Amino acid sequence: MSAQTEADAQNDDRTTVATVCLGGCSGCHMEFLNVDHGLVELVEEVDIVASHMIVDEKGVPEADVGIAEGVVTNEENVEVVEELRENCDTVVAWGDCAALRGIMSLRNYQDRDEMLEETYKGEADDESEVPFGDDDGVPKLLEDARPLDEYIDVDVYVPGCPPDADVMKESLEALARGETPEIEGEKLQYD
Amino acid sequence: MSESATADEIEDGVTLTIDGQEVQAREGETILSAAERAGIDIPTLCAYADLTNVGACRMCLVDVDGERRETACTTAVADGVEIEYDTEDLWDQRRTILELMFTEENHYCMYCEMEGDCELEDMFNRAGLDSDRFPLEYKDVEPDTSNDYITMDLDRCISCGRCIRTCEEVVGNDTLNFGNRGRETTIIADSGVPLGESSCTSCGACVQACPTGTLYSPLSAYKGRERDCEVETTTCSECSVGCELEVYTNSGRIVKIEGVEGGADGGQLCEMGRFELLDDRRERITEPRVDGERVDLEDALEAVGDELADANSVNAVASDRLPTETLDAFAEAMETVDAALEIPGAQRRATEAAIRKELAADGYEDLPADSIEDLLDAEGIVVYDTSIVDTHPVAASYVRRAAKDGAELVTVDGEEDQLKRFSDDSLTVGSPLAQATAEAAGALADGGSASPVAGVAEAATRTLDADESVVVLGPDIEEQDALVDAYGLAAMTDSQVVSLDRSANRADLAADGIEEPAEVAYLLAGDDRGDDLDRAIEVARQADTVIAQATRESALTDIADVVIPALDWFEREGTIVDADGQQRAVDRVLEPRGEIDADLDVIAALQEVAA
Repeated sequence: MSAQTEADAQNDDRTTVATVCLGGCSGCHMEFLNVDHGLVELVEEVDIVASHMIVDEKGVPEADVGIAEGVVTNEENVEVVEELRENCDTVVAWGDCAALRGIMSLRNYQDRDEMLEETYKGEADDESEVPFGDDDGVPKLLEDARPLDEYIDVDVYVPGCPPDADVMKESLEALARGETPEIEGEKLQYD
Repeated sequence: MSESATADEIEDGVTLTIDGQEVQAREGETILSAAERAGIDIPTLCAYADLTNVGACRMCLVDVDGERRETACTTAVADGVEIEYDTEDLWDQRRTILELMFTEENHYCMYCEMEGDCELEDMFNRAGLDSDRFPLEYKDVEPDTSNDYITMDLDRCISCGRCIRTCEEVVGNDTLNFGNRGRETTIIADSGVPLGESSCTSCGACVQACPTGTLYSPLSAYKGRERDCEVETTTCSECSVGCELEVYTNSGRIVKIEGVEGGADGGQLCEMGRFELLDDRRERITEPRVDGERVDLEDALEAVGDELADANSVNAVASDRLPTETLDAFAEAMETVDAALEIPGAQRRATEAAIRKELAADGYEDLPADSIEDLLDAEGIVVYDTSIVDTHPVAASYVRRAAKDGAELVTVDGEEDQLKRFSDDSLTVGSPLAQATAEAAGALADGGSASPVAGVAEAATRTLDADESVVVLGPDIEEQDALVDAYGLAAMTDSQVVSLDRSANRADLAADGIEEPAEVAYLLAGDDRGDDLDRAIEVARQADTVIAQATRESALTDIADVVIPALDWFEREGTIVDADGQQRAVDRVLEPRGEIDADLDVIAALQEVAA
């Protein structure tokens, strides 16, 4: 890091934001990219320190605002949301999955193991195995997929599948100003 | 909810304030109804149209004088009370109730047919529900798909009971009910059987009443949101009740058909009008054919003209679903070639007209009921032929409602009595219905009868003794004797007659019927199906040459030598005459696709070539 950028970093009073994608389709993150040119304005106010489509940061760093997309559907998700709560001052549930359950929870109507079996067995090739998550390098699926607030306290909910990019931008700007975003009326969506 | 008070009633009424606004109300009116008229939108999910209010959903909670909390839909107004409905505390309560609903069933919008048109979704929005404090349940509820036209997905149900009250109060069929208790409460059909095996008549009134995606039709599912649709109204020509149809269309496609709220029928339609009109999957005929070869309309008409001109005899059958203008023109065209013309129901109507004329000469005037809605106020009803449940379902609903309101009902049928559940005296007569009515009339004249169907006579005469009594004649009563006896019975007991013959369009048309087979058969079949189509095929089979003017491919067009495309129900224009004798407008809902000429133009051209 050059002397100049180091100095910048120290003077940077922007709100830091980390986003994670749990059991989701990345649709919320994709919609966030639809903020488009507005992202240029937004990064004047916020510093995105982790976000899998924007920043090359795999963990959950400390941040002022932590945003999660998707349901908590496997054991790794549980660890990630606990880390998110630990490391971030304000936690935001992005999208219907994180806020209310979302389409991912359709699997709750099936038996987990039967579903995995049905999905994977013999479908790829003779070598294919069913990823039950027992020492096979894949996080174990929980019995049910559930929204974020069944595991951690959530401060702000932005429902929608996905929420509108504008609503995402406005809510982040409000948080950067230290305000609680008001999401109501037309901005409050369930689809 | 929409019980509205007249200006006079309000003048003698009470004054209250709702959120500081002064509101005039009629004494005994509910707070919800007074607010609605004043343009104040107290939230509610379970109040609907003219149904009884039950206070099920708790959305309309209001504070009365800051002292008690009541449901506005079940609490009467009182002079000087101060009502609050829009406080943060009340919205907190409503939100909690909504959260409990959200927790209990699957109210996730994304995979729901009603998304975008859902009153529950709107209420979530209005209450600002963005999360749920309670753990979500995932009930193991299988949607009931046993009925072809109505799917019931109880995982979307908030138990508001609008469907139950509609089935009971509007349709009068009492199929839907609450089953189980407490949290286990669900909607059940009859004693808990699948909808498709229940007493449901598939009228779909419950689908129209449901505020969520619980009751929906697979015919309309995922075809588009109501708010993106255009709405055209026309008159249903499936039977002579002539219900007004609200046809929802999107991009030239019909999404759904609904009944119009606010009338005596309570927004009802029937299986035919709401669903079967949407479910005609027969292939559409778009081009004329002669001997199986596609030809221009001109060539087809020329072939028809030659056949008609050369024929020694012509039989013609026209669909009773067609507008009067089309039928008149067709009758005229057929007259130029001396054809025998049959229109279902027309002959019976002529017979009835003659009977009425004779009775009028004897001083018995005004026998026909002014309106089939008069059934609702009847105290005694005798129904001859209960197949009206299938053929005139909305009229049958009036009979059921009257019977449930205390009217004495006698049903007489040669086959299965479809109104037996509601009937005080259900009489299945093995002999023809003509005999049953004859016995009744005879018994009345003789003061008694010892015949095997004497029961009919006694019950019928006793029932018709009521002040407001109606004789309903179903479509199967076609013999002149039976009609004479039925009218005689009505005349002698000072009853009115509701005649429900086979015709959907009851215009006066000269159609004397077909007596013997002819060389050429011309079938103006339109979109006929079922019995009417079978009759057309029967006539066609007796002829050497068959000309069919029809909307869709069928066994009739398979055997036709000449096929001419006809307009479908949603493309027609004109008028029909309903069972009350009123002229009703048949309006075009969608422009015909492709090159289908109006039936009237085709018939005019036909008359030219035939002459």
